[in-house]
Amino acid sequence: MRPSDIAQPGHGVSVDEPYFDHLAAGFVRSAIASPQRPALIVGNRSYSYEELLSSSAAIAALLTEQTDDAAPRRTAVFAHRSFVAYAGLLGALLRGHGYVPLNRKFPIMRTKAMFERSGCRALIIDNESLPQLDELLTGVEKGTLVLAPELEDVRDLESRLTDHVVLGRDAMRDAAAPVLRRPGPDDVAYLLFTSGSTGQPKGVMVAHRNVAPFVRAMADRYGVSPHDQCSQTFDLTFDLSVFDLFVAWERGACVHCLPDKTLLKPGGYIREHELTLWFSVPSTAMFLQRFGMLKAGSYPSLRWSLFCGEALPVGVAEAWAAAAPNSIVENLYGPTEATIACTIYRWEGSRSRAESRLGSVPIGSPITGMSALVVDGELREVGEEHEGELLVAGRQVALGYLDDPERTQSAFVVPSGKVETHYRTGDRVVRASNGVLHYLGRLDHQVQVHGHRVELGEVESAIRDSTGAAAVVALGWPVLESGVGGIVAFVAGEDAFDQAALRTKLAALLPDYMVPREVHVLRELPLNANGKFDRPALRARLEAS
Amino acid sequence: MSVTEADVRSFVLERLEPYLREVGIEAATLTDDTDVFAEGAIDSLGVVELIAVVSDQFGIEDDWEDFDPEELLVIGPFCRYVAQRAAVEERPQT
Repeated sequence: MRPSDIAQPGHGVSVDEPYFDHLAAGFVRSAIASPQRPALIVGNRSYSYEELLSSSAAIAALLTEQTDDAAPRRTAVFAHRSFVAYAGLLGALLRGHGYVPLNRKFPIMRTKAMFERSGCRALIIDNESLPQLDELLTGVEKGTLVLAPELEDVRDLESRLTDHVVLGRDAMRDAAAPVLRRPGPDDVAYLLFTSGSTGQPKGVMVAHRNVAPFVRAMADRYGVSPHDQCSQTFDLTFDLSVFDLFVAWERGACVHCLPDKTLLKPGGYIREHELTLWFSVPSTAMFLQRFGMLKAGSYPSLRWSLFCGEALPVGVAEAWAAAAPNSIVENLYGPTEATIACTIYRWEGSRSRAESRLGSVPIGSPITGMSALVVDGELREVGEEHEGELLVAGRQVALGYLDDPERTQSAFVVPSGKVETHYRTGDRVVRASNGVLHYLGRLDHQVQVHGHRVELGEVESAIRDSTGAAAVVALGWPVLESGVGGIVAFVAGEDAFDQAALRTKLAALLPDYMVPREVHVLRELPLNANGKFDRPALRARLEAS
Repeated sequence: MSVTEADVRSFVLERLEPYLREVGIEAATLTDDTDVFAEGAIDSLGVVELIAVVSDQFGIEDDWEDFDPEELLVIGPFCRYVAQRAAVEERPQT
């Protein structure tokens, strides 16, 4: 199939309709405009827009054949940094489904919980994730569609998964052109899970109408063109990956999927491939600094250097700005619940250095279509230079949490005197007199570990379940300029226990960044005057050791 | 006294031992080709921390520009690289 087939009347996207709020519409337009240009580089292989579109369309066609409209309009994509991962999520979107990314680096029990909660009746999987498939499908409702687009021979899989429908590479050959329907106002583009304090991950539903205008606004802001070479650093289970992919594809640019190891030390890749737009967590920049690779003038090809996901230390912004002298450095901020990013700050050398507080670059001010409100505990607005919780409102505020009206209601609120729904970020901020917002930390027991938001309560609950101990405190440790390096836990008990065995148990329940690096056993945990665990005292212990 | 690859390896293995134990790898069974990052024994922060302590221990400057990211963190190439760097950087001082 050629891209132009999709533009035929009756086949959905009208290329003349620039405000068609569908996350994949920009990709399809770019594929029609320049089918031969590279859309994606994975490893050493480059894929043109035409190739990527025709694989995605084939996936969409198979999904259309095999799933009915009564089932939840969502499809899981169990793939990581592979061609199938990208074709898979585009295929789900072209089918009119929201995609649900699953990550084989997560413990399978967690992946399974996400998959089951999502209600997906179809799963697209890359060959590298197949070893986890049997466990994922154990106990899952019969008749789930398993589509492994690169699997040559499906017989072995078919014989093991007799309750389900298995399709492989052969099925991909003769696909029809998909019909790209205009999504309804609440049609979900993607469902992403974030850490929840009760031990159950929460599924955030982001609609096409939340994300499509954001993608267009960012493509405009950064003047993205077909000549741009954009980084893809974020895992698909992290919503910033949506920016990586769709902002580039919106304007016909090329997306570079960096392999896991290259992400530890991406300097060589940036130079070799002459990337023009860089977007990552600040940790990645700090790694490069550690490797002595933020020397002045190192990355002349970059036009834009964007950071998000955790606090951006002033020293890192300065070093990066010098290393990429032709680029503008910006700090983006936003929770998944308000779609990727909702405030931005532009780094401007000495002026910004003077403006920064607590060693961190400000998070800036709201982007078009979004507004910010700083409130006290009663959700009343506080004045400039007063600390408070950041609430955000506007077109990017997501639909809420899947099948969880209670937590949706407590996080998505209408403060008195306002009419719009505001999302409570749980972030402590202060608004300076010039309107710029500064991030101060979390209000609750959440921490950022390399950009991943972690509810310490979820770690504590996993430790309680694994040890039977009642008194457990988890802390973010060590404290870095950008967040925390990991988690350390304290458990009340008489005897030391087998740490390694506990960590192995926890590793089966939690993603690696949530597994405590150390677990200290104390006879009892210190309490404060209110009878709560004295977290600062425990932190002081760590500082002293 | 010059640093040998064996010195580096024994230092690195000592640092990694607790992490290896957790993922069920015996330090003694490690080969040159064992990739402790791919095996999940250490995470990205672990790699960066290891680089920091190894640089300190063997007096290497913070410049790992020419180290191939694909070899993060494969025991043999990593230890060889550190030993070579240590040997080169030792010379001017002697």
